[in-house]
Amino acid sequence: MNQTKRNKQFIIRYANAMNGAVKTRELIEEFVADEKLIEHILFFESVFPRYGGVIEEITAEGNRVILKMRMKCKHEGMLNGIPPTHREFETSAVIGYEIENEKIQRTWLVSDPLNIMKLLGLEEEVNMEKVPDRNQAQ
Amino acid sequence: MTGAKKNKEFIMRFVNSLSGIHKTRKQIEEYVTDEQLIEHLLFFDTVFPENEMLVDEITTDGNRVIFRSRLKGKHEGKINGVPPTYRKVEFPIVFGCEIENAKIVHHWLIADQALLMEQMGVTMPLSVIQAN
Repeated sequence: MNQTKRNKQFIIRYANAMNGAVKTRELIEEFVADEKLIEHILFFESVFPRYGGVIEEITAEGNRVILKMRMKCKHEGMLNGIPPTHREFETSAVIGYEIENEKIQRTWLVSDPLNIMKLLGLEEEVNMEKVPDRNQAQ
Repeated sequence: MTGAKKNKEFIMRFVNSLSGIHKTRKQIEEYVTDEQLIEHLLFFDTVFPENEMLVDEITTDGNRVIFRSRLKGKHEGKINGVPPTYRKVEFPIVFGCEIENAKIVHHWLIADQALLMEQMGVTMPLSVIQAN
């Protein structure tokens, strides 16, 4: 089996281990060396306990693996001053991983928090009054 | 040259030929048959005229190419209910493309619209969940 295929399988094992689980630092560190990712997962877990995700697409080249995920979450923790709404929602995210020595070393993530806000019923939190008119623009 | 390498070069030609110019349907159709993508690109060009696409990473696997990029432009058209602010913006956008016969036949995209809203001057309390 080549390295790209091994990396794909490693990421599938990681995603399955995280899916719906209580994500402790110990569990995350079995797969992840990137401290920023560990803290990001722990923060997400505090806001959306036992969040999970379905892999919609997996793409790999060299030491990189990219997942397109459908995330399933329930808002149960404080999020930047917003108290729990207890709403469940699903949203898409795309996550890129770099793997070395059977650990995730670096990652990036692009999601759409604006869509999450809409799904949580928090559209009114967007402060349209701060949109400048043409004369005030930079 | 392998299929994956050809697809990577095709995507680079596609991005380079359309980045920073006014995009017409005819130009886009040289690379794209996916009508939804054509409409997305035309819409972005009305909101951010002559926008640039800055590619940070390209990953190929079979007939799929994923490219992580930043869309850079000036906000001159209505988007998400926000009228033109004439501010400069640069926000992450990831494209997943399937290529057949030297055309993009299917795509998905995810853009960080919360960061875009912030750059347009609209406050977004949930932006904290964006990871870079």
